[in-house]
Amino acid sequence: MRSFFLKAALVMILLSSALIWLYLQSRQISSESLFQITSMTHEIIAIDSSMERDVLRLKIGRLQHYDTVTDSSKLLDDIFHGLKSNLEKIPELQESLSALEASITVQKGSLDRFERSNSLLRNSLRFFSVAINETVANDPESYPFLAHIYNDLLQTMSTPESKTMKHLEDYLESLKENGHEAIARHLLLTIERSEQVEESVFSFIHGGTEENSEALLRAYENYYDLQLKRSEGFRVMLFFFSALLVLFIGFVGYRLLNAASELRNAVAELQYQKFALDEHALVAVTDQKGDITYANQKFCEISGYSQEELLGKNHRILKSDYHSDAFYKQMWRTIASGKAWHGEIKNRAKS
Amino acid sequence: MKQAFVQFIFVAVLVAPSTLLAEAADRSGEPIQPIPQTVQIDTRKVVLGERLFHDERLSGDDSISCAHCHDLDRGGVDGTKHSFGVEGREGPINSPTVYNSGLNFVQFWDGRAATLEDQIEGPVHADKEMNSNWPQVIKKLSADKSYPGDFRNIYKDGMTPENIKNAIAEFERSLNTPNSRFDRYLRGEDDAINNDEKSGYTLFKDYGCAACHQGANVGGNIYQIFGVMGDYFKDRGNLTKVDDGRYNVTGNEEDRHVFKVPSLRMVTLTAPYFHDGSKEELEDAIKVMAKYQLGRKIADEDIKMIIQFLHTLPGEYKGKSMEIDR
Repeated sequence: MRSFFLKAALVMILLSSALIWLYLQSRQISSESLFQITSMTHEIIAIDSSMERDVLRLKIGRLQHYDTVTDSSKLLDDIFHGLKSNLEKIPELQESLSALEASITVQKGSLDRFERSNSLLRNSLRFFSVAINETVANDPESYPFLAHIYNDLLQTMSTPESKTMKHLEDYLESLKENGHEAIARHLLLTIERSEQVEESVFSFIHGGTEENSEALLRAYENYYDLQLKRSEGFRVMLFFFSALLVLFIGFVGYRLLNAASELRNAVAELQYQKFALDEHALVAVTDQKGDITYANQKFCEISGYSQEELLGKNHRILKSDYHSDAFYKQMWRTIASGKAWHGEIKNRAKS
Repeated sequence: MKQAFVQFIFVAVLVAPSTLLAEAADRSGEPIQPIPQTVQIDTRKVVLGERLFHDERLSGDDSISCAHCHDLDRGGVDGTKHSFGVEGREGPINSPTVYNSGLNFVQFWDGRAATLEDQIEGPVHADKEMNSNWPQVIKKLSADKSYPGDFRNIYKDGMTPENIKNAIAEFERSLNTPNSRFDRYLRGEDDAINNDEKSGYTLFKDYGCAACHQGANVGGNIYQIFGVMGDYFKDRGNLTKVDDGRYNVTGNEEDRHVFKVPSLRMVTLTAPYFHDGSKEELEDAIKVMAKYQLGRKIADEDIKMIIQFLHTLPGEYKGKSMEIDR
């Protein structure tokens, strides 16, 4: 009986732990996090496109300072780091996360190259017309030659199909021969820097921040859907296990009721047997030390002691000299070992 | 109960906003932008940071505070070619101004610190600057009865290296100098600067200075190579490690001699010039820039005009104009 309840308690503890575990697994991924991740990636995409717009405005000189791109770049960094710390613990997303991080790093490099070369390019372009005017003022003869170069330069820069400005390098030697060192230096710088500007703007715009942000968001949405399905599965299991627990508790309760009525019957039976015994025999119960813990009515009558007087007393007070020491020794050995002793014994009454 | 745990963010209005004129000229497309008149800072941190900024116990031998090299009464610099640290050890580089440093996109000449907080690590540990370390600093500052309590009032975790840096950086972010005469001109006050100064600004743009020195801090937001039109370092000689600039950070050959374009906001107060402190006079500095960066000569009278313009750039700190009397 006892081992049954131990087993039942163990099963219930196991079932309850399973329920707690299932509950933890079945909790839904919060829709708030989906909202948060979505808005963060969209923000990155928005900042990225505003930076692209600013870079193009800087390239054509419609924006004349780098404060806005610098601020945007910092903001984008901050949002990305927030995103990263949000998603760091999800192994499925690490690949898209590092792809995005790589493209942001590449874009930062492109932006830096763009800023350096663009500021120099715009300076040289601005200088060209001034330099030509100054030179022509001292040396009117040089005008057709310089104007030709300047036209070629402007034309090359304004026509998108001319991929390279290399042919302008042909003018460098003749410029130097004619003593136009400064113009030659600026022409060379213009050629070099405008190629760098084109390259860096291209790599900035095609840096992949937008694509990688979108890819990350898709990966997160997949992950989110998967988590939803998974938690649904666990909810079904949770229901199943709860039903199991309820059934088991019912079973244990049933067993408990049965056990109680069995116990009642056993006690009644015992009472009956005790009554029968008390009617016909002297019964005294002692503990292992020989102290009396129970004595029936008949025992009291014969010995002459009342029940109160006997309880707690040692059985020794009843000892008569009739039996040998060996007899008592044997009897006490039996009692001391916890067994019941029965036999006839001549004891001393109170009187 | 613990009011100390609540972080209050105050918007400190540095100076009362200037009144915009009814028909103000729109100068929002100019390469130079006005310094924002407000900045988001926690004033309690600023107060704490100001004390730390002037505390010599941040250095190993209790001789040097941040203010030692960034003297707020001298334009936020020390006025020496290179800065001097503990025991008079000479550092390798010229101290840039701490004013408006919050507007710089990165810190140090080579941009090796992304934030003002990160920047503080440099001088605290450098053997030619403060020559100390955080355990030592914390130990010394803890001996001061008021610091630990002041920190706990603001920061949950009390006095830590992170919080010391944050408080100092917060103070530095309060060191913006808005409302210069030039900013008022940019905001539409046509007569905030005189005609010479206006011509100086036009020359500043025409010669190409504004190609790099632009934005609210008149620089401080991009990198540029020093020696575009000529080899400055070969001509100067005596190359040192710091001359490699950003190359020391990235290791890329294309970053050799590349520096953060310095802010010109306080330039009239912060001689000598360049990372090497090689030029005492603004005229000479402009000539070096014209030769090596712009590849052209600037006439002496134009230089004078440009300097006139540069004098209109320093704004106000604690309501007082930083512009120097001429």
